[in-house]
Amino acid sequence: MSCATTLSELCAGAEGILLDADSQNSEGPLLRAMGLEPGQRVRIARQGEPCIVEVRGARIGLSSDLSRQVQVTPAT
Amino acid sequence: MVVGNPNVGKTTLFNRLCGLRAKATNLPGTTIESRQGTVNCDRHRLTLIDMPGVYSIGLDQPEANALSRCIAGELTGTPTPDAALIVLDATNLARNLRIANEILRTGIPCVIALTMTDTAARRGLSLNTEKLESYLDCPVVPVIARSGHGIQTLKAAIPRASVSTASLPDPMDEVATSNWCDGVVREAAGGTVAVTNRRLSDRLDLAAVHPVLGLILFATIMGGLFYVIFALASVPMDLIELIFGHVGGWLTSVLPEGAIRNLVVDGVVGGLAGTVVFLPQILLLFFLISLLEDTGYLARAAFVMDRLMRRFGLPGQAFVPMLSAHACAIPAIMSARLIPDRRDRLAVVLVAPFLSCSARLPVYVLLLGVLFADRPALAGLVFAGCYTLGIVAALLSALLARRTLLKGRARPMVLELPDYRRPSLRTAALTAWDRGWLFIRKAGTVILGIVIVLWWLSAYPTSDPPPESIALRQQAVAVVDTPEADALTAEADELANRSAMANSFAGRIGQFVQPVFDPLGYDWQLTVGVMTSFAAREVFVSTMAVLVAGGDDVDDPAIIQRIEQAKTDDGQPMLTPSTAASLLVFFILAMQCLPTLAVTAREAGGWKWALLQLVWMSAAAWVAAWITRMLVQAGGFA
Repeated sequence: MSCATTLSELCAGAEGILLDADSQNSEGPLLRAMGLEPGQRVRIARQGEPCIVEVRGARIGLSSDLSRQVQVTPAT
Repeated sequence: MVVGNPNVGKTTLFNRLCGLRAKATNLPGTTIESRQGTVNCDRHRLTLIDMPGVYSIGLDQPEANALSRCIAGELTGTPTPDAALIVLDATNLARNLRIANEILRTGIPCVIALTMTDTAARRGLSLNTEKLESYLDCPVVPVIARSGHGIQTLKAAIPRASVSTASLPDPMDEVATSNWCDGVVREAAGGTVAVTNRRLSDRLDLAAVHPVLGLILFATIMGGLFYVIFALASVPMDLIELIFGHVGGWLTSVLPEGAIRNLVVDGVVGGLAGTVVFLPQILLLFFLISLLEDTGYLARAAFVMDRLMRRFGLPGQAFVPMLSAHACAIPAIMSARLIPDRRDRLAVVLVAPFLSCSARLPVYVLLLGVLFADRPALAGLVFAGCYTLGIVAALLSALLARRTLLKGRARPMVLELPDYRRPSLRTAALTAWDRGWLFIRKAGTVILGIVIVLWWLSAYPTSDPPPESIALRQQAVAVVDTPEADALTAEADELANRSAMANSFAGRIGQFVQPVFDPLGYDWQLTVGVMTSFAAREVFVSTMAVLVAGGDDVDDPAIIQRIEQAKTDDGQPMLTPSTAASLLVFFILAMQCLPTLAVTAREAGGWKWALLQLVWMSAAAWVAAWITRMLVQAGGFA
């Protein structure tokens, strides 16, 4: 199993599995309600500011402040 | 009650069901906007409330709180809804089921509308409605809101809304909820889970949010939007003024002379014209914004501008209102609803009138003419400077407001990026209609009242013409030569007009408050001009025309020239370079538009915000104008 990293560290086009993100992130509940739930597979459509991820068929734009806080495991 | 996630086609569906029988209102006791409309289903006439889109009712957001309180019947003034129409996006069902679960579990009777089924089908996703119905235990109707497909079936299904007795997961248990959502989708879709047309969206997104390309694209689109509003709206605006001018002229000819005629022609017709004249810009702005929003571009644009606006404590969504404020602050303030966070929204509403609107143009032109009569290049430069000063003042004020009064952490941007699609003209037209009607209903009535009061202040009390004027008239009668007699009569009218203005309440107020403006170098005539401009800036030039030139035809170059050469009562030039410069700065910054204050009070949710705006802007204007005068005088000009 590869080690955990954050959304902001993945390359564009890479995929990852979201980890339980109960950090101090105050936007956590909103992110989970938008579909960024633990265990979900995400694909990075664009990296940087903003970071665009695809999850469950929806595209979500995140400012880099947030993408740095979301933990993922890289997946192939 | 219509509920669902944002961007699921909820509003399009609502428009399909209710059409023009809908109006936007705030939910009682909140600043959350909802739309209410009526729909005839199965011989029942139902009232539908379109709730704001939320991802979960448990979120700590004003919209989510309002929604959960509404379902619980805790919103005073809104009856507990009889049923919920849950709108779910078929292309993204797993996430959408989360809110469906939350609503179903409240025990309210529900019907589910499954939108975007056409897009889902194109992507090879077909959902089995019967299976969904059995899992959720309430009617499920697939619809295509844009074409109207399935609407009749939905109307028939709404009265059959039922309380779900299905076994549903506890929304607090996120793992169970997530598994349940995935499970339902797997069963209903026969295994496949939604995919987007990622290649096209990826490429478009890369361009749209690119640091350089995205900015160029954004500048082009916004430039076009601004140009269209500026260029196209002027035609109907001129037409409105022409029509009201004719109506006024006709009423003047049929009504007997006297106070009633003055009230009807100058007060009511003038007031109506002053209200309706804002409509073309409002309609156009909202039509175009709705089109842009519908394409999916606006969500991307918000990210592009966020990088820039964030430095001033404002979110990316603040850009559209702030740009359109350069045409007129009223539609701009109304469009601040695009901004999700309340503090951000209030900051934008407060500072939008700093931006140079089109009503300031005639004043800029007049004063720049005085300052740089023979140096057009310099005039052009300063003209651009006027706009820049407005922008700087707005951004700095926003920063100040967000640091003090509207203190709060700026929320990092997170936005769903909806799929790109062809915008719906129907939705855009309905949105424009909705906003226009809202403006007329809420702000229009206040504006009409204000305009009538101001007209009354400047027209009453009527006074007798001064002795000089009467003497001139007598001379005119005695003179046989007609041109000379006409000239004398014209001069007599001028003196009479000027004395009437000076003796009116507005004139007396102007003379009374003149000491306030004395440090800025304004004599009583300029003060009256400034005071009447508090109704609307465009009045300044015509007031000055009446005051110092005795006519109100502001298109006449001779009249403008006379304003420029006017003298104060002690024979000094009225508009010296230092006075003109300080007046220019005052007009750039001052809050001189009562209609805007009325709209601010409505959109911000209280007159205290409008008062704050008035005091802050006027104080800033006074101080800046004073500094300007000192600087110009220090530079060696009179």
